[in-house]
Amino acid sequence: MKIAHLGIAGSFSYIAAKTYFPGAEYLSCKTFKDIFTAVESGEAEYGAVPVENSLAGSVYDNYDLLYKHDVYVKGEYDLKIAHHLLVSPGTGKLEERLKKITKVYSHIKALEQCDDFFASHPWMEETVYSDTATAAQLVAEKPDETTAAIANETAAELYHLEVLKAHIEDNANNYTRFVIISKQENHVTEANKCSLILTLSHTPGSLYRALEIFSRNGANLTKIESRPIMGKPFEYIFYIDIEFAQVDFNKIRDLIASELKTNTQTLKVLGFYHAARREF
Amino acid sequence: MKIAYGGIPGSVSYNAAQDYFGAKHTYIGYKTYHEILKSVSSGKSDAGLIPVENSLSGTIYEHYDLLNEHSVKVTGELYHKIEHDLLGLKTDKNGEARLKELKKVYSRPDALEQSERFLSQHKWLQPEATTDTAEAAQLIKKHQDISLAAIANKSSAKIYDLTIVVNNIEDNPHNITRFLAVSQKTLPRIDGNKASLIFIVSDEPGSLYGALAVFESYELNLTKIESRPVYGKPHPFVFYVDFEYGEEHKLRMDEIVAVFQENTSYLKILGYYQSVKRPV
Repeated sequence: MKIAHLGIAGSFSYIAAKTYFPGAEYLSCKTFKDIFTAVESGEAEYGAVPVENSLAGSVYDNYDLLYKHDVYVKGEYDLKIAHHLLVSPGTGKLEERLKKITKVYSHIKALEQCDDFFASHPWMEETVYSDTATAAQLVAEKPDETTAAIANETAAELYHLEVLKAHIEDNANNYTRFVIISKQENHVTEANKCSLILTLSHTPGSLYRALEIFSRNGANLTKIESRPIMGKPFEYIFYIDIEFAQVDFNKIRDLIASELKTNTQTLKVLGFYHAARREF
Repeated sequence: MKIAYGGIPGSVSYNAAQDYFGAKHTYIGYKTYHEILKSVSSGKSDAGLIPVENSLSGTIYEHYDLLNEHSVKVTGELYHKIEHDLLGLKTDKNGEARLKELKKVYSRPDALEQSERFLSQHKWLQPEATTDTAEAAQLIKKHQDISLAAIANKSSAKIYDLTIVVNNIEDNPHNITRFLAVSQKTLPRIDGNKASLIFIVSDEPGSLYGALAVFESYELNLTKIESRPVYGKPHPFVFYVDFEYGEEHKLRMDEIVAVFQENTSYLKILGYYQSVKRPV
């Protein structure tokens, strides 16, 4: 079984793929679109794509791809994002080794999420790199006590780097939600979550009426997001997730196919699946 | 007036601030949005501009967090179209011949990604990441090397004395960022027709539906609704909402807010302001 992910081994998408499908084969993709194409063509059975981050927001690119491509959501995974300062293995006092570092490579988002660290270590120059894992790879290729990368623990292990300072992120509450995509619709006999993309007619209260269907039937809305449709003023596309732990799956599925369908202009059911367990 | 913006002259925030406030002010560039809001809330600057959403990359949760933390008020909104142009030093060559002289292209990672089509058609140009588009333009000017290019905008070309080698190399012309203008002083809501707010409801089926009832019963027009995932326990839901109101609502706004407050566990009205038309 092959799982498509973004970036090289050690990227966050790779970790999500590996945690969801341990012991599988992994296919590295350069762009999100490549992941979708790999899954659609059958080159990979599944793909792991990030759809939202608790600090940075929804990844519209991937919602667009979910809408356009003939793929379904099979499941989801919440990955905690941690940023560590990685260096070539060495010895010496922590403070002295930190003092020697002049260049820190990482993805722009990771650098931004470690603002406090850089404010207290002003001699380090932030250097933007395409992603965290390749930044780690770069540091590993040219061992030098003046360079460091900000990446995760998996990247440290894969590229034999030392975690010089762990958890240098400003905000510990940093999670990315990945969805697992597949070419086939998820034929489940039970599920407690559903993801939908829909558009509504431009009449007052149309959103409220659509939400009422869920509320009346005991399903809980866990995500809602409006996004303006370019070229169509006053029209919006909605991304919606519902969870229904206490309600029969078949009942919800029938409601979506009948009542919700008649109350929406367009409706794409991305999939029924099991919600990720949130133990944190 | 003193206006706080993100980055250096020629940055997208700088251009947006100039469009919104006009040229006859003192502009102060800050490295982070946290510093901008500190500058405005402390009275060091009279106003500031914060990007909150982009048509391609979505809502910027981190900036809503900052708006929630700082005691500033939203006084207006602005849509700014993002365009990417390829800039280089002025030489005696033009067009294709000038393009052939270039070897490296500097820009922000997302600007490089958004110019993917152009870069894949001109494979000899090697992309290099920087923290900002204006910084990339500044770098070209500093190095005085005719083989270097920047992906930035026309305003950066002017400021850093560069020539536009190829204009509008962005893949998608619908790249628009929405900014909110902030200041210490509140506008009287009678002058506005739109409000932005942050609210929290408890994690119970139907709680969001209950909170939204106020918009339905008062016939207010929701122009944005977005839930934000919150990790950890307890697990409340954070929402970002914009709504537009008419003359008939202005005198009843206290009553509307009171009803809304009853159905939410936290409510912060970011400001009342005059809406502008979203470009299509």
